[in-house]
Amino acid sequence: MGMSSKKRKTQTSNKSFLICGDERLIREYAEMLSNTDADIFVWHEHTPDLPKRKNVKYSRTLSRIPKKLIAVFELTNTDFEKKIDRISKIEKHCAKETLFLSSTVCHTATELSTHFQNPQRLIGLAALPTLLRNDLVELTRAPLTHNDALKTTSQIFFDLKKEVSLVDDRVGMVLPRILCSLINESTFALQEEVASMEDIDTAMKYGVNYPNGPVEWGEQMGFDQVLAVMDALRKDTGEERYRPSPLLRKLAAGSAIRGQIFP
Amino acid sequence: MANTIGVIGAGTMGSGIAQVAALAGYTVILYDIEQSAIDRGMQTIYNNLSKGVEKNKLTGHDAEKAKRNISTTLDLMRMKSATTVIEAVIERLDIKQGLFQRLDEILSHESIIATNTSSLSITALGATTKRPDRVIGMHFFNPAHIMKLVEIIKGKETSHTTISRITSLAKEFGKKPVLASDTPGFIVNRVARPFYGEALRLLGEGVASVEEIDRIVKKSGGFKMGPFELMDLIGIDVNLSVSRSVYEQYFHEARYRPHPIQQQMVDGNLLGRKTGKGFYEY
Repeated sequence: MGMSSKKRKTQTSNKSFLICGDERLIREYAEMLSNTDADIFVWHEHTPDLPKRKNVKYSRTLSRIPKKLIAVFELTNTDFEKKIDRISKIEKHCAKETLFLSSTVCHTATELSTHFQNPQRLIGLAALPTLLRNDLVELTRAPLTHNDALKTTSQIFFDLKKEVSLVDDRVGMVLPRILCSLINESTFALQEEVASMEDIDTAMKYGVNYPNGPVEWGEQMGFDQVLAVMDALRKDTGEERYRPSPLLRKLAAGSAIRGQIFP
Repeated sequence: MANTIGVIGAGTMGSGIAQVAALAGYTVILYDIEQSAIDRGMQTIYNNLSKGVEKNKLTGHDAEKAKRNISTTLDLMRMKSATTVIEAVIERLDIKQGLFQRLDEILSHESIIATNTSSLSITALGATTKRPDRVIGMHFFNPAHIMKLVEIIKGKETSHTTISRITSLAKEFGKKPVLASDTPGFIVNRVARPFYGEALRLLGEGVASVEEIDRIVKKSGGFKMGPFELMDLIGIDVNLSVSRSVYEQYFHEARYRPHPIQQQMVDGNLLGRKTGKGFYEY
């Protein structure tokens, strides 16, 4: 559905986005959206580390955030109860027509939609730290998602110079499932002393041309995020192949506490 | 004498390794059981060296010197002068073990036997010799003259001196050595399993198409190739055989289980680029 340039101009002058969720994701999405002329409102319990840009505003309470928003980016992967609580509060706060882009790497959009008052505006998003470095964003939809919600989402990402790919609604979607499984496997190898952390990363970068080593990628992503995806895949499929390594659990505890585990 | 490297097997990997060693200034003796294999291997080396000169990666002088550094033989006894022998024959334990026993008799006491195996146990190969402390894995990646990585694999009995000598040798070859313990798939062939395994499952479950999965992995993940493009390049049969080998050696650990799609492709002779059709048509 093409939008006229006149309409697009009017919209951009009044654009506001709301971001909430896991801290690493908030930072990355705020960074991406701050390059637009929109106002970015970040709602979080405590002050996250945010890009210092004029159009990025932090608020501890929803009441200080406009009700009329172009879209909400709800980016919670690690705590389902918190996610549902955030969704419910934002839905009560925002105008009914607000587009709701919610991370669906650990839960399907279908499951998530049962917690919405207005599930027709829900779009699932493969939101995982580090993925915004690249040019494509994976999306999914719930059974009741309206086609217009998908079209508007595609346009938002198009304006941000990102391609989109619509995949079937499944836990882990495509890239998070492949990537987190790779990182989990590298922690099994590390735990079994197959090689050092540095050598595992070097091997994968120079042996099969991976853009990052899996251990360093896990660290950049946050091992708590990787663990959340693996736990969700295991729960969803009941398959042993998604069992997180004991080392991944330890690393995740570390990254949840300190933001990073390695010096 | 001190700088002589023996390479056993003049196939794709053996000839690539011989080329790398010769370019690094070593005297190389390339052995195979068939003259035709040696001829093919030498032709590959000559072609690669010419391409290197064309692309300005090598000088004509370097290429000529490398050619002069390589001699070939059908006589295993000529390995006697080698301080290190790198074995790159077919991936069969019985054949490699037989070869290692003969090399053990021929080589001087100090010489090292390195194997380019990608899947067999270094410990099991070392155990057939009287020098398990001087048996080690030296796993190059295809094409050996281009790929930087070399996995150095220490068997249960491999000595520190052997590890240190082979690590230095890999560096002199211009490679990036990493040290791995003697476990199935070593580092790369093990850690990379989910890249293919999960992509196949996503396809099997109908989450996305071959083209879409590859597109997402490249454009959202920053990978140079998608898993299906890569399987087509490696050969779907070769990829299945590595998956099966790691799966069996780990006593059917669920994480390494191959996927029925792989077997179906192999049954249909849809092996990827080499047969003109795999997940894509060529």
